Amino acid sequence: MHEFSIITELFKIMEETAHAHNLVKVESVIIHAGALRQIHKAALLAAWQEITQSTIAENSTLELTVLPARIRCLNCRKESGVEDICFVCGFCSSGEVEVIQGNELILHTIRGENSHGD
Amino acid sequence: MEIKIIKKILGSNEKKAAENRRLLDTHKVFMINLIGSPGAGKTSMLEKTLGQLAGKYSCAVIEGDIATDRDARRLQKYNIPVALINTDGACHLEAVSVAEALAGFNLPETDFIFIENVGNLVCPAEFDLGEHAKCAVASVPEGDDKPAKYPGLFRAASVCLLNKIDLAPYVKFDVAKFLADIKNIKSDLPVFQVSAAGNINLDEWIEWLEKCVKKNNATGQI
Repeated sequence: MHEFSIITELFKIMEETAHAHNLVKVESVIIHAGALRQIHKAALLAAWQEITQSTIAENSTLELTVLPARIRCLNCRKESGVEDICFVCGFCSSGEVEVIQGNELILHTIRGENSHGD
Repeated sequence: MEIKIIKKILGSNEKKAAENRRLLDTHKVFMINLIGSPGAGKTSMLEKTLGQLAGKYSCAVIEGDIATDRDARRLQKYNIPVALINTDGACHLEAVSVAEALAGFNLPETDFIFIENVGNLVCPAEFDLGEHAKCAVASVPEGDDKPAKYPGLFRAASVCLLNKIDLAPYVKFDVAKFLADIKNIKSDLPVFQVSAAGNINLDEWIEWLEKCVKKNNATGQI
């Protein structure tokens, strides 16, 4: 359900950006979401379709790139991935780690047409 | 044309949450956000906690409720300020409504603010409210797989309550498995095995809270 809140905020930023760049049509929007954000893609796309109806982004595509979770060990400083929800260093097995990737929720790119047809 | 933006989508919530946290730090208030499933025992834990703390410290509560005021009414007997936020169907609280609730409290005279979030294990963990700690409230009848299924919450939490521990002999719940999964997700997460209804092990939790408020008074953060 947090997908709708996310989409509402995304739509606001998209509208502001489109206005600032004189876009008359938005074709696609790319967002990057960390795996730890637990975003349900189908719910996100359905919310996007709903909110963009009768706007400059109607029928635009929402592209979601999921960034896998990565951690850095606070003891040996090495970086590793997170397998099977295990936030443990892959090198020294320490549980003292910081998440360096996986919590992102970023509007990355908007593609569209401006009033000159560019 | 292509416009590269690289902007945080929930940036406005994060900004408001940071404002809330600054306001609380100015007044040395410790705010904790209770997150758990419907029926995990968040309100019962709050009742028992307020029963022990309300005479000693000045407490206030922000109740997130989808539609009713039932939880807020349960807390009236403690004679403390309770701000009710009805989310009208939304599954989590956001920082802007918490800011409105904070504006109604006498912060210079407040030690603790407890937020009872809407019953849900996913969405509330995603929205920073400006709290100093998130408390994951799990309960035995929900099953021992909750940390594994909802790692986001347990990773974000600063403390975990495993409630209804007195029911463990009657339902299939492997405490060791629950704790092992938590250790993988967040190795240093304190877990208190409690029962609000059965008054079991509540002292450790109360002590943990009291340590937080002292640290907060000294440094402005846990």
